[in-house]
Amino acid sequence: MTYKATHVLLGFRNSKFISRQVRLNMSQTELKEVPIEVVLEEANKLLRMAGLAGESRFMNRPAVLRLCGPPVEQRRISDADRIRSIAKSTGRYPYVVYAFRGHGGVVCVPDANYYAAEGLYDVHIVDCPDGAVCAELAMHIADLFHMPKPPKEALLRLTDEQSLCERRLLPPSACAATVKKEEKREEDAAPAAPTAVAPAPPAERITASTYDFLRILQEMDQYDKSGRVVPAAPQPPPPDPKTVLKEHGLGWLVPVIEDASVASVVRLVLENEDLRKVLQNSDLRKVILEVAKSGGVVPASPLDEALAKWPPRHREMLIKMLPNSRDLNTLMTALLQYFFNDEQCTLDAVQFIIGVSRDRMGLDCGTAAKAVSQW
Amino acid sequence: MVATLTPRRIRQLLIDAARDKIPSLPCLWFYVVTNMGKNARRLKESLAQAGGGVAVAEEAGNEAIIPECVVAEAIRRIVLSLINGNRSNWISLDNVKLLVMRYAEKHKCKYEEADEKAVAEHARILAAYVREWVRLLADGRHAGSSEHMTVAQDVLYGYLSQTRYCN
Repeated sequence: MTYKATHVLLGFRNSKFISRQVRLNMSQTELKEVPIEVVLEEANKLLRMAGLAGESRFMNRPAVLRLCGPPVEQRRISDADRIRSIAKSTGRYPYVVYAFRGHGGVVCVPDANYYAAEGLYDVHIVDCPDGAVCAELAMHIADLFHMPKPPKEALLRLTDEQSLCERRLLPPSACAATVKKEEKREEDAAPAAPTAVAPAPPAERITASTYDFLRILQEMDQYDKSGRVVPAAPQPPPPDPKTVLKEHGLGWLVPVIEDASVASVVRLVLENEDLRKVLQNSDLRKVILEVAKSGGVVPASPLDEALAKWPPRHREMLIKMLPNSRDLNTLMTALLQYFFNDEQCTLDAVQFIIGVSRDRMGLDCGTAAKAVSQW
Repeated sequence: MVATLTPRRIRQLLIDAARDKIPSLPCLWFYVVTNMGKNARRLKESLAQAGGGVAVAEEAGNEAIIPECVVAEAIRRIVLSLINGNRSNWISLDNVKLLVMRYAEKHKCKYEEADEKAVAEHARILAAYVREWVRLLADGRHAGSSEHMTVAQDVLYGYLSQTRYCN
């Protein structure tokens, strides 16, 4: 059985939503509509594949217009025969809008020009870290629904013209014009360079030959003048954490380190002032944390940064735990359990706990709760 | 990889290679041609930035990263590898760019369009060395014609194989 989509439409005209109709060519004669849910699921699948699930909100028309900004297009869909309300056909879906929110604004599919109907809009808001990806998705989704594709003016809200050209989202003629314009601009700018303040030279790309040149030189660098290969200086072996601990008078910790997880290390940190002092040394801290790999350790960052990046849900958890904790140790135990079960015990988290424990003098749960609530 | 090489070290390595003190790959001489001149200055600056900025730049001083004798040695080796010392027919050395590119093809050296352009730019400099050889060797009768930039292969081979520029 072969399926062939003959047409799909989604849009508005005369206060009515143009229904989306997919006619499938079954055995060339029998036509069947594809349910709107299927197409919506396909569109959502596209978003998920790009790692951009976004969120779905119901909004009224003014709210959607505020989100999507002024319409880019001026035309209206005039295919009256295909008009049908999606709300009527599915009973559930109101008017569907995909809003891609980039750095330069929001691109809506379909364009705000088509929001003629009053009513509830099902708006899929997608935040775009990479505008070019979103531009491509917007085009795909418009294509999927057989809606008018977002024009260049709209796509430029998401990314620059060059990225659009690279992804072939613009017609080749538009891209060729851009390239010519840029070349001309560069040519025009060139004679002005000597008179004005000397602009920085454009960053030169390392060519294949330069790279290979350096590679050969690097190989040659291994030879001494007599033509013999100079053996590479033996790398000092990484310091043994047991030795490190013994050197610092913490040999009694070695048995613990051997089967350590981050939890046990941090618990020991909290209980032992000497170890806390050791961990203040960043090099030693790295060694110990490398041993305790089970927590998914991330590269170290200053404590201040860790606090700034503290996720809200962790703060909420902390606030919940504070009133139930008898003392700081109980709080730390609860926190550690939370972190390690959650696989969120990054170095930032560990540093946070160490930082808190360092200030345990004079810190009670009430003060801590107030401090946390003010974050 | 780049950060471990300083401009001065590159200069020394190239001189050592030109003196045959250390073994070198054939493509090195093609890359010398593509990276000489303006490209060499740019490379020197980028190496200085990568390897420690001001200190490395000062260390490199005003010395060229690719010395003149290395450039001459490069074109000598390129031409030498393209000619046959057992044949006495005349060959044209008029198109230096073609010679260099033929060498690159022969030794399967990697290059891009930009490198080809660089060779075309640098060919004028290299042609000076080639002209010197032709003037010296061509006699207009048996060994070649300086008017047509042609020289007998065996004569040229004999001369180039005895010449060293970095000694």
